Amino acid sequence: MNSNKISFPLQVNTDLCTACGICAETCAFQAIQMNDGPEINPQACRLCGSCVQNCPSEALSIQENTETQTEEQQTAAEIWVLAEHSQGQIAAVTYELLGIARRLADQSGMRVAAMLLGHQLEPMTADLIAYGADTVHLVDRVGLETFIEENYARVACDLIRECKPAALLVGATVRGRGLSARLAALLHTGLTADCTELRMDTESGLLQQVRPAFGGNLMATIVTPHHRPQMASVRPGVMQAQEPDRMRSGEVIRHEDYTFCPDERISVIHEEDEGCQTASLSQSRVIIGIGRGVKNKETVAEIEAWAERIGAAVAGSRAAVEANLIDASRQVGQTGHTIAPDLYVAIGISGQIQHTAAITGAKRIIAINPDSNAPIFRIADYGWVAPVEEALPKMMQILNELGV
Amino acid sequence: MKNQYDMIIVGGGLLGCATAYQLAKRRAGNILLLDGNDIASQASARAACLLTRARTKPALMEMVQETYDCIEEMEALLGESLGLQQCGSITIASSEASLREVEALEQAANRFGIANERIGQERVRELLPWINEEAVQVALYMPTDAFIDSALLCSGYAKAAQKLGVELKTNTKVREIAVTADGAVEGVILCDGTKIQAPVVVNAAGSWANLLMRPLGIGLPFTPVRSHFWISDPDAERFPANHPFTVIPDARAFTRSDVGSLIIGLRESECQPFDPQTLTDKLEDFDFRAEAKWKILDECAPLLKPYLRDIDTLGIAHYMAGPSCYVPDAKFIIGGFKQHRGLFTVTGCCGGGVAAGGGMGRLAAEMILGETPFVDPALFAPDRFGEVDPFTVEFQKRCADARSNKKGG
Amino acid sequence: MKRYIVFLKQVPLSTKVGIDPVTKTLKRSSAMSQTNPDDLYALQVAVNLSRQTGAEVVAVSMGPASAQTVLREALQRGAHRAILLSSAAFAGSDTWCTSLILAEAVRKIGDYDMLFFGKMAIDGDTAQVGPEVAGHLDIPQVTSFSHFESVMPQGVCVCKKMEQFQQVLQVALPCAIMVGRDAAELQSPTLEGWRRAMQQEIVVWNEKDLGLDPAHVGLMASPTRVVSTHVPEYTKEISWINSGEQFSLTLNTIINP
Repeated sequence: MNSNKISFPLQVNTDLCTACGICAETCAFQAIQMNDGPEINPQACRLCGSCVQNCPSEALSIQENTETQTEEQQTAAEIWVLAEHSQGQIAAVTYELLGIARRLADQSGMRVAAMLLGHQLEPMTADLIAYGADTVHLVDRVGLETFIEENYARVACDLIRECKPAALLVGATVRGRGLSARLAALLHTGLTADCTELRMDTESGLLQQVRPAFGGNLMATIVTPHHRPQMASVRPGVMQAQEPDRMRSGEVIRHEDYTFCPDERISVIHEEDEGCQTASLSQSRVIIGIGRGVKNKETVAEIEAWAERIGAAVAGSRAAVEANLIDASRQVGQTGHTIAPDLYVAIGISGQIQHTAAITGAKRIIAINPDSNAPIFRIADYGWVAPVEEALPKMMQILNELGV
Repeated sequence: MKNQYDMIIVGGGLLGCATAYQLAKRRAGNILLLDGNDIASQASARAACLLTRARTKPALMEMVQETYDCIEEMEALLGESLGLQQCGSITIASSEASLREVEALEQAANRFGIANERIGQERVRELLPWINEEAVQVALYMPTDAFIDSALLCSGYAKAAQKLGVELKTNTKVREIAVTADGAVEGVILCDGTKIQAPVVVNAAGSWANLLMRPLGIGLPFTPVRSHFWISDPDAERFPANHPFTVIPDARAFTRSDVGSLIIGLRESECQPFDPQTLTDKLEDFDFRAEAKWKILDECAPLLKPYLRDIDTLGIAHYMAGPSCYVPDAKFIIGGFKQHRGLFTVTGCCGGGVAAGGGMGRLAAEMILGETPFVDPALFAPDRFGEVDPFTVEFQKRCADARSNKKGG
Repeated sequence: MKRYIVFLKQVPLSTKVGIDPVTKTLKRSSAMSQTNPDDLYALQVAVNLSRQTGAEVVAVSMGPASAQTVLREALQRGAHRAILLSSAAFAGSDTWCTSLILAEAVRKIGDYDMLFFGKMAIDGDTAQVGPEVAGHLDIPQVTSFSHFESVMPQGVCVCKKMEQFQQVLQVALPCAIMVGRDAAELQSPTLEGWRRAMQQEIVVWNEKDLGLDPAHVGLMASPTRVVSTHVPEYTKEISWINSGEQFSLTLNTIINP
């Protein structure tokens, strides 16, 4: 180790430390060894801060660098939403983002703007205003008619550098993810993915971005103190759109003198677009979820037949996908779909947070699981403690008799 | 779940479930079987699954036969197949030492009336399309040997026991075995503090059994030792479904078919014991030292290569490691404890839980119920080594050596 | 010389963690690690392609010394050489900083045709690092990669699949490709590959090797900051069901109120 290196940010105050060992025990990266006191291995430590949080004697701290590396940027008091669209339709997630942006802006006296990039989009601007935008920044150009991440990122980057919004919200969709990450790199700013909650801290003026960490067992609150805009992505179905108000007035800023040069390194040869609404999962009133507790494909087929009869969609947990019980495209969870049906029936799903984080929007949840301590029962409205192979025949028999 | 039973069995693996079945069959009363996880979810889901009939120890042969008998009975009782695959076995010898082993097996099989024949290289090639038959000097074929999915067998015992009245309670971890001041068993205390009473408790907690015995001052003479096998990429032509399993002592190996793939079991020269204190609640969270996957294969491949010529370039799709409970004399641990009335154990499978589980359960049940044992219980007495401390490195090494020095695969 | 660079991350074998009910602290159920699954698919796509084009495949990982095992696996599975980016100065890097470090490593390796990333890491689930590296280097990025239609010296024709949206793109080299688990069949590793991998040397680079100022990487230089963490609380009241009749009754009242 060279000596001129800045000292490691995680430090132990030996006067306060009681050598209780909690930090070493709870370190997820095995970066702390207990000898006389905690010894931190800087090679293994990721500075996640959980030891700082867990230390009962407040003996651990992460030193913040007092001098900031970048100049505090002057920003406009605006929260921007990157509008996603396809086939002449604004994606539902955009309305949801406008909904949260509106609430955040109203609390802190800010304005909401939507950024709409593409070609022949004029009719959509009214929708964006109706759902909460004060301003729509429109870049309508030939060359933007098809979604190419490099082009959209370039235009968005130029527009943001010019207008300097305080925050930018993006849908955590297949299109939004790649675009927002590239944009964050270009803008040299932070991006927090898959936020489940956004708050505006009135004192610091910082956007507090809450996202699941450690598979969702822990919620982390993240801020972007010195870089702008503060970028956050949110998955579809997480935030609530507000009722559209067709009487709302707003301004459409048409960036007509913006010179746009498409990235010549990329060209579209062929494109098929069936719209940006995702499959039946987002529209079903009733969804049946299958977990690893459903042990074989025959049982899955039985559940599917029943689901079809009552008009429900069938989805599965990551464990069920891994056990080949259900197709990956129907996975519900942090790495799959987020759902918000009227009723979710979880069959043989233990309820790892990676799954439950994506079903909290369900109005009612019925869970069937053999383990009464399974975490699924912490969020279910109705619980049935039984092995699937025991519960399912009983349930099917009755349902068959009643024809439901 | 009630709070009082006649007997409580701790552990829903092969030995616990087999014991439950054997007790239930004998109408032993109200029986509760507890497992901290699911039935058949731990070591019993990681076994090689061979049901080798011929053994050089006569008692063991009786016990394996009992397992075959149990499978037949349970299939009738449950009205479903447990998927026994009668694929036959081939024991292969290519050295003087292994030839003597084959001869001993042959004699044992003949004494016990197990079908067997020596087969020539051509027939070996027919039965084992993957093998280089030229490396085979002597091959002993036993057409009635079989393998069975160990998790299916284990849940078969459990379901049969349940059908005969045993109550199964899973995902319920036992914290301790409760005893009175004079040492008699009075039940178990669960991790959530619940006390369940029973005058008889059977410790069938496998790798975890010594952790339950420790507070009682009992050291069972075994420790978990790593066993493992490798599964090749599928190749239905070379590894046809249900071709005979092999035992190749000269290569410290066994093989068996696994739906178009080849399962290869190999034994390293120095086996790896584990201190039970380091065990996790679930084996999926336990580190069996993943680097062994390639290190041990590298060590053992030269021995197997004469038979399986492309072992170096064969795609390895999976690796499975699990704990086998080894005893220094490689014999099981079955019986009671003088100082603790009502306490029994059935453990120390030494890699034979699938093959001998039915017999081990039967012996345990007979001893619990005071019936005449069908094999000599002295062979398996828990105290036959005197007082031992299974938490010491020295003792754990003795147990590991029992696997290192094992004959056969 | 053609060159593909594949990025692989060491992640926990299980992201399952428990919360100690008393102390409310995190308890990891297992300390074992693995190579991020998506990254193995990225490697497979690169190795498959290199068999046609003769390109060199360079595996890169960033992490502590233990991340060497990930690179050994990459070598075993067909990478030609491996570089570990490891330094205490890198600790606490967020995705922006991580991608800056990776981009700098790409520049140092030089002369590359394609970068391959797994779509997402199971311990972060952000899917950000690949596109951010592409952004730092200002090269085209192909997210949701499905397959190559053709590979030419100057450019590739690729198919992207994202749910209901499909594109066939002509993309100039160099570019970055983000690979998910449906883009290739993983080939099983072999003992021969392991023996080869064990004989190779893994190069280790720190911030000095990359010409990065330690103040420009790691926690301090990361735009995002974790300010607090909390254990999510659930306060729902649950009604218990214990028969098929009760189930169908409950179901009925919810579906047909």
